[in-house]
Amino acid sequence: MILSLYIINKAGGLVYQRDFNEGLQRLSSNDYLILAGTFHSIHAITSRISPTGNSDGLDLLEADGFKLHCFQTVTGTKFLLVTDPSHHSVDGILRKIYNLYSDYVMKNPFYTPEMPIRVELFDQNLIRAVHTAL
Amino acid sequence: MIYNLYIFDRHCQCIFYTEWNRNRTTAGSRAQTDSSSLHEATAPYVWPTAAVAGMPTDARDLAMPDETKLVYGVVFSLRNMVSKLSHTKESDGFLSYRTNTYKLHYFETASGLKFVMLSDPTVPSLRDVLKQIYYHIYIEYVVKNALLPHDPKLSYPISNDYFRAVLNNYIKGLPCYQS
Repeated sequence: MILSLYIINKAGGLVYQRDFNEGLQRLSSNDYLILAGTFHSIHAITSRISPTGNSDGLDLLEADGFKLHCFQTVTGTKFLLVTDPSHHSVDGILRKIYNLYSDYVMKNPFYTPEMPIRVELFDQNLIRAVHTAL
Repeated sequence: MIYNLYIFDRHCQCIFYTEWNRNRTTAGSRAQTDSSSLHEATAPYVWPTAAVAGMPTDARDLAMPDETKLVYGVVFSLRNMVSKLSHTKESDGFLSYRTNTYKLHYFETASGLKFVMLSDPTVPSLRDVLKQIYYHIYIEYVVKNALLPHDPKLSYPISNDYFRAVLNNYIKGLPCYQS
């Protein structure tokens, strides 16, 4: 079960947030922004404390009530997908979301890069994709 | 493969650090002095002076105390983040995270002691191992040690050879120690 999706731009700002299912605490929009900023910094630090030298940042976080998967694109945009703990592979759906993002957000001439995403077609297709992936 | 263990007390101080199987990314000579000085030191919280004095040539090879601070910061922020997001208000919400080269396992006791262990990413959850370390090694050799000064406002680095020896034996006996 997919609980929610966050998209963080390369500067650590939250550009998109959507809950799909119940299971997480609802926060104020300010708290979501703080959360995204914190995650962005933690992601950077986790690649530095690796005991073996070169490491990428955090890609899966396991907690009591959920799992958080992080997919970072080459341009530095991060897609965070929160699922319930029993969910296994999210690679497929994350790629799918990235495709939708490129198609409906990046190719939208009215969208300013790095700004919050308010694109109706993206919303619709995203919800459809997540529901078929369940 | 298990890489290292950090223990932090309630005052955010690292009271114990030890490492296994860890090859530093810099020159071999330094890697050797590092591991020998760490394993034979009687006071455990002695960072290899070589690592601190000769500043790292590789930016990734951080001087030790800085690294502990970063580890503490990461663990602390993730814990807060998880408790903010989860429905149930529990302190042991955060269990572990994984990157492509390592996995960090986390266990916090009711008294605020934090156990952090780093392993390679294929190792299954080491939470039970951390619990064992707490219940059967930390309690036995540190808490029950009558010679240890006790002032809850201060933090005392663990300088107990028995603790270190028993811990070493226990970790080296684990199936995931060197696989």
